Amino acid sequence: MTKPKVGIFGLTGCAGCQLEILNLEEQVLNLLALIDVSYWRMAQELPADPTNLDIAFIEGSITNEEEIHEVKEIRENANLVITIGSCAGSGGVQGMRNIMDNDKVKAAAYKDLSGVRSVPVKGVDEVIKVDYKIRGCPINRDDFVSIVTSLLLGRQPHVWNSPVCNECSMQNNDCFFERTTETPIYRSNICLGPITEAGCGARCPSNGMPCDGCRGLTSDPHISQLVTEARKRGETTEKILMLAKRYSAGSSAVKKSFEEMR
Amino acid sequence: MKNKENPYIPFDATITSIKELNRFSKSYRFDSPEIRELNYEPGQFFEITIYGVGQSVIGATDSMFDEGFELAVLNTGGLVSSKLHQLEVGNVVGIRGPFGKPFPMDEFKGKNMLFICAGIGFWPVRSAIKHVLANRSDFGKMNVILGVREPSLFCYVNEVEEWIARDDITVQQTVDGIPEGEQWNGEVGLITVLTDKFEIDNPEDWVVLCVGPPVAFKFIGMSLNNRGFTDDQIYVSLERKMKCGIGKCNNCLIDGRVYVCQNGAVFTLAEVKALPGGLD
Amino acid sequence: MATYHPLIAPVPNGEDFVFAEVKSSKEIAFSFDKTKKSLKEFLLKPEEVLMTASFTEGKAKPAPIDDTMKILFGARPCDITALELFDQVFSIDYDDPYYLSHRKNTIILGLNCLNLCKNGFCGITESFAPKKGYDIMFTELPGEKFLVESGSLTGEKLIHKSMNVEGVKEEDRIPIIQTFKSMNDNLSNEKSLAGISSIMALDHQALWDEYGEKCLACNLCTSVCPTCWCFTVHERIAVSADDLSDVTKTEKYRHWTSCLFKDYHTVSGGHVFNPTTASRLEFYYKHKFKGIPEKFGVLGCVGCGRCVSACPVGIDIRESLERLTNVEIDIYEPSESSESSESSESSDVITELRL
Repeated sequence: MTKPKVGIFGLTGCAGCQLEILNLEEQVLNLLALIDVSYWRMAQELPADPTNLDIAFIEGSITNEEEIHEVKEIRENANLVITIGSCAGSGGVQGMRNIMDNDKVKAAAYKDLSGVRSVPVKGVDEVIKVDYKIRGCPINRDDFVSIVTSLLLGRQPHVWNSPVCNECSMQNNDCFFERTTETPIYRSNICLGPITEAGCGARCPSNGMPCDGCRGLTSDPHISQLVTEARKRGETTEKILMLAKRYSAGSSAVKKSFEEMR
Repeated sequence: MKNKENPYIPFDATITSIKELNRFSKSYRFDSPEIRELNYEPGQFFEITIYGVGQSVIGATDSMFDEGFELAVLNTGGLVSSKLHQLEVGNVVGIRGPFGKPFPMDEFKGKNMLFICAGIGFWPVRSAIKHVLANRSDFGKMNVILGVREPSLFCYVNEVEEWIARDDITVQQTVDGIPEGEQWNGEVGLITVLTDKFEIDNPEDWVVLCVGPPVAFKFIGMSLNNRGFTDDQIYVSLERKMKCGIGKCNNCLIDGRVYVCQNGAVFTLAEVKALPGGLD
Repeated sequence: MATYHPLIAPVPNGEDFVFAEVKSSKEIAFSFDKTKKSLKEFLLKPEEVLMTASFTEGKAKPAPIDDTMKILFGARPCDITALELFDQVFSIDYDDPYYLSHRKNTIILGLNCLNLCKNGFCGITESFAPKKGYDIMFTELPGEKFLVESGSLTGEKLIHKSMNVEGVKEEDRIPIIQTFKSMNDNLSNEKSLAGISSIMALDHQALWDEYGEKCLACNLCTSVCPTCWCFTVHERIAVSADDLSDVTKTEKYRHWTSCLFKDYHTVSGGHVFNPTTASRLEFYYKHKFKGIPEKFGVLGCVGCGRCVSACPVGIDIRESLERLTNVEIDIYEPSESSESSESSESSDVITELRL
C-alpha cells in the first residue's frame, strides 16, 4: 500500500480539531506510518506541499473572500476533501453571526472596520464539493481514527444514522430530558440528543452535560416534537432554535430543515 | 446452514469471476470448500460480509443445477454494494446462508410457469427459471416476462437470447422508456402492458413467480387478477432490512409479527395482501 | 477454597436505583422501587463484538465471550418474567451463543415485590409471580429475614451450601404468605389483556398519529424495556485512538437499536418502510402485543412501567392500553412509608452465598 499524501488545512476556527489530532500522542506515529503528511501548517515547519494530495482535511469555516479562494484551490489539489469539525462542516459557533445584525457584530469586534472583509459564515460544502464530514466540536479522536483508516482501506466510513440518545442509552447515563417526578422537575429543559447524530459516544451526557448538538442534525431529527416539549418546560421557541443552530448556522441544508419544520 | 453452533460467523469465499451485467450491476462467482457443499433453492438468500465494511443480503441468482455459485449486486452507492463493486477476482468475502423459505418448486411440478421479473427482480427469479430449465420435463409451459427501466439495463442478455431461441419457453420483454442514444425495437411501457395481454386458457394450471419492487406487485397483481389468476397462485419475494438473517434482530419484521428472513422472503401475494404494510 | 463471584445488585442513584457491581452488602439497596433500567444489559450487552477477521483474508473467528460467573441480586418478578421471553428468543431455531453464555453464567437472585411500584402494572400483564427463570427467589420476611426458594439446581445447591440458612418455620411463612396473597389479589383482578392480540389487528391510526406528534424517537423506552431486544449488526476496522497498530483487523459487532429510528426501517437504496413516527409506534405496539404473543406465547410487556418513567414527553403505555382495550389500568402510587430494611442479618444471607 503506497502511503496516501495528506494535507491538513485550517480556516477560521479555534484549531481545536487539529489539536485533537495532535492529541493522538504516541498513536500519531502509527498514523504517520499509514499516511504521508505533506502539508500541515500547525504541526510542521516549511517547506510544505499542498498540491497533488490524496486527501485534504479542512478545519474551520469560511468567513472571508480569501478563504473561498483557498478552499477552491484545495479542491483542485485533492482527490478527497474531508471536513473536520463543526466549523468546516456547517459553520460552527461563529456562524451565529449570520443570525445576528452583522454591522453590530463587526462594530463590537473591531475598532477599525476598514480592513474587515468578512462574508457570511459558510461551511466548506457551501463552496466546494465535500466527500465526507467528520462531525463534532471538537472532533472525537476515535471517530477521526476510524474514518481515516476506513478511507485508507477504500471503505466508506460508517454512519450511525441515529440520535445521540442511541449511544447515550447504551451507557449508564441518566437522561437529561426525562421527567423525574410526577409534577415534572426536569434535570434539564433541553437536551439536543434526540436531534443530534450519534458517533461521539454521548460524550457530554456521559460527563454530566446535556447534549449540545455539536455533531449536527441526525438523519431523522424530530425537531418540532423537541420544540413542543421544551416549550412545555418553559423555554421559548427562539431559544431552542438558537441552541439547535448554534453549530450549524453556516449550513443552508440545516437552515432548510428548520424552515421545513415551521 | 454451516456454523450451527455460532450462526453469526460467515465462511470465507474467494471471488472467482466477475461479470458486468449492466452499468449499475455486476455478478460474482465464488468458490470455497463450503460453497462446493452448499445446498440452496431458488428464492433463498445469502448474507455477504465484506470484512470491516459491512454486510448485505442478496438472493441466489443461479440454481444448484448450475456450475458455480453466483450472486448479482446492484451498486446502490451504499456502504457494502459500492465496496463490492470495487472488489476483484481473488478477494475474499464472508458468506452466511442460505436463509429463508424458497419458492416451493416441488409443489409447482406439472404446472405451467409464468415468471415476471421487474428490474433487478430478475435475479432471484432467474434462479427459479434455471431450476425449471434443468428439470424441464417436470413442468408444463414456461413464459418469462422481463421489464426494465431502459434497454441498456437488461441483464444476462446472451442467456435470454438463448431462451428466446428455444421453442419450449416464451420470452417477452418491455422497457419503461427509451433514453436518447439507446436502441430498442421491442415493447415500450410498464411491465403490465405485457401481463395485460397475457393469453391463457386454464388459469388454474398456472403458477406465477413475480419479483420486483413491492409497489409493482399491486399493479401486476391487479393485471393478473384480470387475467383470471388468484392471489394464492402468485408468488412474490419481499425485501426488508436484514441484519441477522435468523429471526433474532427484528429488523425485517412486517406488521410487528412476520419475519421476512424466516417466514419469507417468498410469500404468496395473498399472504402479502393480508399483511398490513406488506405492499409498502 | 470458596471463590466469590462478582455480585451485581441494586444501588441508589439519585432518586432511582441502578444495577451495579457491589463489593460489600452495605452498598446494596434492599428496599428499592425497581431499578431504572432492566437487567437486560447484563445478558444482551449494549454493544458486543461477535467476531474478528482480517480485512484482506477473512478467517473469521468468534469473539471470545466474557463468561465470568456473576451473581445478579435484586431481579424483580417483572424482570424475571421478561427473561422467559428472552430465553426463547435467543434459542429458538438458532442458538445465540453470546446471550446464552451470559445467561448461563449469571446467577439470578430474584427479589419478590411486597409493595406496588411506581408506574408498574404487572397485575394486568400477569408478570408478578414467575414460576421459573430465577435461580433463587428471595421474599423479605418480618424480623430481618428472607424466605429463599430455589428455581434451579444451581439455586438449590447455593441454598444448601449457605451457612446462614435455616428451615422455614411455618409461623414465619404465615405473614408473608398473607402479604403476598393480598398483593396478588390486588393485582390479579378480572382485568386482563387476553384479547389484546386481536385488538391490535384493528385500525388505531388516530392513537398512533397523536403519539407520533409527541414522540422524540429518542429510544429511551426501548432501551429501558426488559422485553425489547432489537439489535443491529455492523462491521468495522478494529482500531481506536489508543490502538492504531493493526488496521487490517476487523470486527463484526452488534449494538442496541430501536424500531423508533428511521434507519431501522431503511433499506439499501434509501427506501423507508415505516416512514412516519406514528407508523413506527404502531410497529412497536404491534410487536409487543401481537407479534410476540403469536410467536412466543407471552406478552411483549411485563408491566414494569419503566418506559412510562423514562419517556421525556409523557407517552404512557398504560394510557395507550386503556384506550386500545377499554380496560382501565389502576395507577398505583408507591407508599412513602417503605422503610429501609438494610440489616446485617439479611445482608449476610447474600454475601454467604458461594459456589
